[in-house]
Amino acid sequence: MTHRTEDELLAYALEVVESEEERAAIATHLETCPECRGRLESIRADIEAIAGVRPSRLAAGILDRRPRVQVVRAGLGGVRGFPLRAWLRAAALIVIGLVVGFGVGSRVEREPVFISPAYMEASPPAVAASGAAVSDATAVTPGYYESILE
Amino acid sequence: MQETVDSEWESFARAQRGDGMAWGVLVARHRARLAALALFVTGSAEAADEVVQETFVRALRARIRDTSGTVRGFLGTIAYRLAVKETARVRRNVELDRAEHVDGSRDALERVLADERDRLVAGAIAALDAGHRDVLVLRFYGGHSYEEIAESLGVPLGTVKSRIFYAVKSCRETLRERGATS
Ligand SMILES: [Zn+2]
Repeated sequence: MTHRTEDELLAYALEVVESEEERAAIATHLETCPECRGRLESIRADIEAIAGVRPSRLAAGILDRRPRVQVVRAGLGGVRGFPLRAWLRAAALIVIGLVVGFGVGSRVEREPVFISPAYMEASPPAVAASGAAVSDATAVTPGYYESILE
Repeated sequence: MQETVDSEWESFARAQRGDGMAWGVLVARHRARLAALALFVTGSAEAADEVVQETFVRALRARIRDTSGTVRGFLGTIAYRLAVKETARVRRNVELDRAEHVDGSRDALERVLADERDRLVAGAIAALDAGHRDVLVLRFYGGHSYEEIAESLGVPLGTVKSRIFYAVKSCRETLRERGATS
C-alpha cells in the first residue's frame, strides 16, 4: 500500500485538496491505514498549536472596563470619538490588567482551539458548503465595516 | 448551529445594552484570540493592546445590521482592519529600522506570551511574509472562511488556499527545527 505524503495529508487537514476525487481518495485511504491516520493526527495537533496562541497577558484590563455604551439608534453619528479621559482610564486599567495578568498568566487555562468541525469529520466539500450557511465571518455589504471603523 | 449564532448575537446585544455579565462573557471568549491576531499583524504588544480595546469599543457601539455570521468573525474583521490601519500609521510616523523592528517584536512576544510553545509558534508566524501571515491569521484567529479571506484581501480563492498551505507548512518546519512539535 502506498502511503499518503505529508503534503497531501496537510492539504487534507486544511481542507485545501485540489479536487473532490483526490479528497475522497485520501479519505478512503485513511479509513484503512492507521499509519496515515496517526500522521494526520500529528498534523492536526500542530495546526491546533499554530492556531492556539493566546496572549493571556495582553489586554487583560479590558475585562474590568465595561464601557457605558448607548445603543446607537439611527445613523452612525456619535460613533466617532473616544474622549481623552476614557483613554486615560483605559490606560490605567491596562497597567493594572498587565500586573494582574502577569500574576495569573501562567495559570490561565488554554482555551480549546477552533478548528472547523469539517476537519474532523472529513465531510465532502458539498456538505461543508451547505453547512456554511452560518458563515464564520459576517457577510455584510461593503461599507459596513468602513462605517464602524470610520 | 444557527441557534448558537442567534444566542451569541442576543448575548452581544445584551452587552451593547450594558449587561455586565454579557460583557464579561464576550470579552472572556474573544479577548485572547483577538490579542493574538493584533499582535501578529502589528508586531507590537502596545499596538495590539490598543487594537483589542478599540475593537471591543467599536463593536459595542456599532449598529448591527447583519447577524448571519458569527460574533467571532465580526470581531475578527474589526480587529484585523484596525491592526492593519495601526501598522500603516506606525510605519508612516516612525522611521523603522527593520532589524530593530524584528527585535522589538521578539521582546514583545516574550513579554506577552507566558507559554514557551506559544512563543515558538508566534516566532514562526512572525517569520512569514505578510501575505501568508495575514491568511493564516484571518483563518485561525479571525474566524474567516477561505472565501471570506479571498474577498477581504482581494486575492483569488486558489491563492488563499495555497497561502494557508505554505504558511502552515513553514510554521511546522520552524517548530520542528526547534523541537516543538508532537
Ligand atoms: Zn497510509
